[in-house]
Amino acid sequence: MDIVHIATPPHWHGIMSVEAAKAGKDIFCEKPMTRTIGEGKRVREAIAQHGNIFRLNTWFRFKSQFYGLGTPVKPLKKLIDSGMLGWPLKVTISKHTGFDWKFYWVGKTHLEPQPIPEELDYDLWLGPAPYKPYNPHRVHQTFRGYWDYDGGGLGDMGQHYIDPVQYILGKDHTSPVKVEVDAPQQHPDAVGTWRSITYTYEDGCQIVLWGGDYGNPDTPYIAGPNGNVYKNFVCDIPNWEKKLADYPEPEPQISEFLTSVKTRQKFALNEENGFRSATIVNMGAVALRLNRTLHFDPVKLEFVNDEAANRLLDQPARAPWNI
Amino acid sequence: MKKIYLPIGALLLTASLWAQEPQGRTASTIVADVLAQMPAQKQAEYNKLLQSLTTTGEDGVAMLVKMINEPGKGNNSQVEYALSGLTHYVMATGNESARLTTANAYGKVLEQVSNREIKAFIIRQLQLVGKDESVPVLAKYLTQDNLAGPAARALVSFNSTKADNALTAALQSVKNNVSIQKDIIQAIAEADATGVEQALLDLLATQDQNLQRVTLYALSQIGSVTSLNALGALAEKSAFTMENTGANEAYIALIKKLAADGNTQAAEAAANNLLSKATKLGKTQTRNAALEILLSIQKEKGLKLVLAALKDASKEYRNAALDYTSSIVNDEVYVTLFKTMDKAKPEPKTDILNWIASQSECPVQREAIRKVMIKFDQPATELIRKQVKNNDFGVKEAAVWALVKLGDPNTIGDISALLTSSDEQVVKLAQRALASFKGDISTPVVKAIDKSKEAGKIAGIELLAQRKSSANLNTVLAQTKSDNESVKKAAYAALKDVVEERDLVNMCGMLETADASTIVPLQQAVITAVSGMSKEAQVSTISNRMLQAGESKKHLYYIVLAQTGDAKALSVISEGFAKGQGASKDAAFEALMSCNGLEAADALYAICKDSSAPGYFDRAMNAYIKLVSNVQYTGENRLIRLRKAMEIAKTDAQKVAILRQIERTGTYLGMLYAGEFLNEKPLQQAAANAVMNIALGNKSYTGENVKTLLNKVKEVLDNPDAGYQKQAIQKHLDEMADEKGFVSLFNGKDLSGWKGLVKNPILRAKMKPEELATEQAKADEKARSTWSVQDGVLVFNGKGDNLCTDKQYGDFEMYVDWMLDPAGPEADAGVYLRGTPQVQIWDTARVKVGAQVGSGGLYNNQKNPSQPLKVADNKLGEWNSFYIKMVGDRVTVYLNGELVVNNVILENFWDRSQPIFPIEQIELQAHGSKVSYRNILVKELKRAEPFQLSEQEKKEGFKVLFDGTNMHNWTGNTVDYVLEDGCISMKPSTAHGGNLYTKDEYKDFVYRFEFQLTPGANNGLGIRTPLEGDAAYVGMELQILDNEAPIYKDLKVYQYHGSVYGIIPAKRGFHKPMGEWNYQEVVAKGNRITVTLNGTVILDGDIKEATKNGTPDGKQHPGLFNEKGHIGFLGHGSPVKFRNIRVKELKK
Repeated sequence: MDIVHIATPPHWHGIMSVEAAKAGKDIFCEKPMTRTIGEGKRVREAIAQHGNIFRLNTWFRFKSQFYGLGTPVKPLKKLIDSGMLGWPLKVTISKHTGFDWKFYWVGKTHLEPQPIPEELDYDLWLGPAPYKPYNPHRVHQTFRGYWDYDGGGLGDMGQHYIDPVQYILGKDHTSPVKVEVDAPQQHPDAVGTWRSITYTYEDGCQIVLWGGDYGNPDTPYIAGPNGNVYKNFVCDIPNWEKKLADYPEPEPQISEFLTSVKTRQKFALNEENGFRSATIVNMGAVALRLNRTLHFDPVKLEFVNDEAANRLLDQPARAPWNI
Repeated sequence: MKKIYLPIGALLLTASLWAQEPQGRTASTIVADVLAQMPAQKQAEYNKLLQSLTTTGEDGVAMLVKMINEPGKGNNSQVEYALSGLTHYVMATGNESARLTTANAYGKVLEQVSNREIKAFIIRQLQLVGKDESVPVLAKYLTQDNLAGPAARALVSFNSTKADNALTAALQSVKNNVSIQKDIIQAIAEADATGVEQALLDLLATQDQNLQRVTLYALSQIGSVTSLNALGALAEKSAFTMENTGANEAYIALIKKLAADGNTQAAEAAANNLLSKATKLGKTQTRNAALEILLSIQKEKGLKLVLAALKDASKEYRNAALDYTSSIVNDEVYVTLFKTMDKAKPEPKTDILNWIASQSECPVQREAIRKVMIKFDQPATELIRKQVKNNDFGVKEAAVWALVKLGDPNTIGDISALLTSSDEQVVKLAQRALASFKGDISTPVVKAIDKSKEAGKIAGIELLAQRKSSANLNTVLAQTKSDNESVKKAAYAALKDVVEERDLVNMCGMLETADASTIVPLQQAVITAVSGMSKEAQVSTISNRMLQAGESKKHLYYIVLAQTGDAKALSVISEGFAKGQGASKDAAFEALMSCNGLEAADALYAICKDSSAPGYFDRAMNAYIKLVSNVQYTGENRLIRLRKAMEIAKTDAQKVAILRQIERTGTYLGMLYAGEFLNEKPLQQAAANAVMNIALGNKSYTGENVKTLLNKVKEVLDNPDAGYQKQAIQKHLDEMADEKGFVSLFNGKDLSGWKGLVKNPILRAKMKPEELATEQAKADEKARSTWSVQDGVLVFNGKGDNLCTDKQYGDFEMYVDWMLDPAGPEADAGVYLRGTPQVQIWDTARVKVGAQVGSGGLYNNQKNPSQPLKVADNKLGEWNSFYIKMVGDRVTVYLNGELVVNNVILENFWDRSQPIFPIEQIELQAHGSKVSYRNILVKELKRAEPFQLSEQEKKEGFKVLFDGTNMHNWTGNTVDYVLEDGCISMKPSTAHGGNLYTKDEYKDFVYRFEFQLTPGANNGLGIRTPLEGDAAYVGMELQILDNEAPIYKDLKVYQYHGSVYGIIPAKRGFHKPMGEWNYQEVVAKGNRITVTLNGTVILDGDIKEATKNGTPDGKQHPGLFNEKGHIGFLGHGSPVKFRNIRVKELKK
């Protein structure tokens, strides 16, 4: 077997990716890449060490209509690279711009313990996650509602919606330095809803997430000092199409996994840029749980001046599962 | 309302300050208070609550933990929110003393609980919040079976020597407990604790695979040279392959750790040994790992290993080696690798070229590589350019992309040369690469086109189009004359991308002489050529061209006109359709089909009705339906236009499509209209779905007619899901509110239910019954001759009087569709409510009379708004839909789905000193011009009984100021103080603001009223106050306040409810529970003010006495001793309700 497809709940992704890397396999991993930033670092290291091909199962940065935005991502990349919109840019990901942060995946704050069904090896299902009494809502598709295994709607759709934004902003090799949240207080076990999460980069670029119906419906998808882009690729710079033609197309990336496997060249969405977009998702989860603004060091990959946040960055795993 | 300035300590979030808790708020009160507000909805609230919780110290934590139920014995949500919130909050920087208290509290309470899950929960709190002070208590649990894991993991998080020592010490005590050993050893590994290497080595002999695995992992994290042999032996035993204990991986990790620690000699020896053994056994992943370690140690000296790797048969190994090289690159390394690439076989050659490309993605490396020289006159990039000519496609491809990423414009020619290849794959490669190349590719591409074969020519043309290279128009034009059909086609298709305005004449010339296959791309080119002009200029330029082109050719330009979106252009096309034949008529039609908007829809509708052009009907009808169904139009307008389509639709398929779109409007009238088709078999299912989905989606659509429709739908539904649907319908019917709903006032056949107009309500009331009856008969006669029913529509012929309902109506909702006849003259009409004018209807073109403001306004109002909020009228001659709601004296109007009148008072035109009549007939106004009506439905609303004085109050001479049916006696802010459910309801808005005052002034009086608060409400009763200014100071204010709201706990005594604000305090504690109605009486007699709340006197004072030493609040109250003034409700920030207001004037 040469390729491993990791399709477990997210709390297993990190461990399995690292094990697969050590075993010399190429890896096709579901999103989010890892549940915590700490695991993401280990996956990146393992792959760098063992030379595997790694891809995440999200694809919008290189193909398909980008949800309700009404355009694929490539022309947006071209427009931003041209510099016409100015700098820095603010991208708003919300229902109004075509991305629904649905809150199906909320956990229940009160779970009655129930007998474990015969066919489920609950201990193995939990793996590295702490032991808590069994209830079907923890597993069976609703696991996304619990911090121990995932991050709710943010964890589910986060990389799909955010990774292409990271790509078009050219931020594949860095991370935001600040994350702010506006949400009801989160339960320690069950994931809840949120109103907004705002990420700010060193250079002033921002990624804004608005959940549910929150936010101003007239907001542009991309707002820049010299121009804005709205849903359906409506751009308010006069004659932008003609001006844009002068610029080159964005460089193609390998978008066939098997091509990467054969040529040993990195896939379009790999352990480097995938780690970075997963980190955006995961730092949002930490900020939600702590309910305060956090600062992050994109080089050291740790939170600044917040011990509690760093204790959520690297969460010790239950033996014998380690990463 | 007075702005209240709250003590700072209660609100600021300074983390290090403990909030000033007022005396008497015990820990248990605070805990209860916090629990009641969990989870906090906003951060400010959250911080405030947790800050207050920290003041309870260990007691608070203990209390909360005691409340945790064992699993299965109760809901712990609130407590979990509170405790985890506390944990996170105190851990924020700057809260150290609170953190310490909290951590100690958790430690203490951990000992006191016995249930495993609760203990585990507390330990998880310590994992997040504890530091060295918590180590001892956690250490105790390291030897306990089901808690060792959580305790060990908590200690790992502390990241401290003391915690590490606890872990290593525990290792000794759990020698025979494999399960706990695993937890502790894994923790030791993750914590990087030291001092137990030998103990771990001793454990390697265990039979338990998981224990061995964890132990090996630990040794790989904390081990030294000492462990190398043991781990190496185990790795070798596994043949350097992954197995359950992870021995191979642990060995590799240990070697890497030693290298990183600086033990380079030992690490290097081990890595070399590993590399050769793994190579012999063909274990690529281990070879990779070993090579990586060696390179990290040897750095540039390791280059020979890389070169050796590049000769290896395994592509994985070669590329891994190149990956690792990225960390040791410098100019020499680049030179060596370039030279190697030059001589290598195709596979490794490709690998190195790919590597160079990926290196070039980083701007620093890109610059470095561009500058690398192989020899003094040979830049490295030349070696790449050489490979562009390589016959192996893989090599060629890799070389091309490397050049693209390096981005040197001098290399563009190498790539464009590939366009001349006869291999299509190569041409495609060149095309994609050039598309991504920054800079001017057009010039080299033009050169290549000449020399290329078909594929290359097409690729080149497409590239010129992509870059909109208008400078090279001639190249493209030349190719339009190609003998090769595909090339020719590509060239024509590219014209639209490379033409500019200056080429317009040329393009028009070509268009007019084009053969059929090139018409469309030439039309596109013309469109581009004019696109820079203003819409008007486009239309006039093209129109002129059409004249020049002549009758036989002008139709070629219809599609160009169409894309201007100009109304004039549209009529040219419509005319062209009407007058044209054959290709010309077709061209006009296609052009129309490409248009959007209502004008285009109207043109298509006209074509549908044109019986001389039946061949276009189907497409025109489908396009019309699509255009008018656009969700940018309100549901009401979509319905109006879809009805027009239904009237002329020819096929069942069209009618079904229309019904589907009507379903999407979600409108009440749409539901009724769809219901008319329930008996037509071919349309039955579509009609049933429309009725069902609209009804079930709108619980407010109630009533007998809706029930009847839904029951009919249940009968006729026929599809695989019908069973569930019928159940859903039944459920909906069962839950439907029991209301009569809308009743139709117009039966579509005759004037039943209507009568003629006799004078006006005031005069009618004065007439004797016989007189009235006679006049009525005459009026009815007149009505019958001037109002009629044609094709189910009620039509007024323009001469005569209003048509009135037989019945009278109090509060109601109403639908009425209206249409003005364009012939007019001076088209005008209206709807009278309560027998009073009116909701205005007029032709918005009649600017002389101000009609441009639109229909729907309460035209005859003088003091209240009389104009609609916006223009929502459809074109003159089109139908419009009113929805009108009247409650009390307030009217709301929607015109075609847009709000045009928002809860505005309708003044009594007949006697402006009176409020509007509480009940009267509805009238359709006659205003001298022809008008049509349909869909007239009314739903009567239950009314609260107007308030009436008691017998006693009547005797005493009380006057009603507000009885729940109108706000006639009040003035001021009637926008935020509205009539709702029989109350004066204060609905705060940021847009308006201001107080509500009685129209009259009062000197000495007894004022009685009822009020209902909301949490935190702040309002006020102004007395003896002028209409302007702050009543508390320019008059007097009796405070209205929710005394119990936490934010008001620290007010001054004269700020609470009932107080003469700033002057005399009132007693507290006599409000009814929140949400209930309070009744209050205020007696103002000279300087004596008495306030009685819910039967208890809460204030009885003399304002002169109270201010004999100055005002208690130290402020100026210039109006305090006013003799008289208005009574007002003050404030606009909180929702409050008032009702049953009456006053009795006291004579001196």
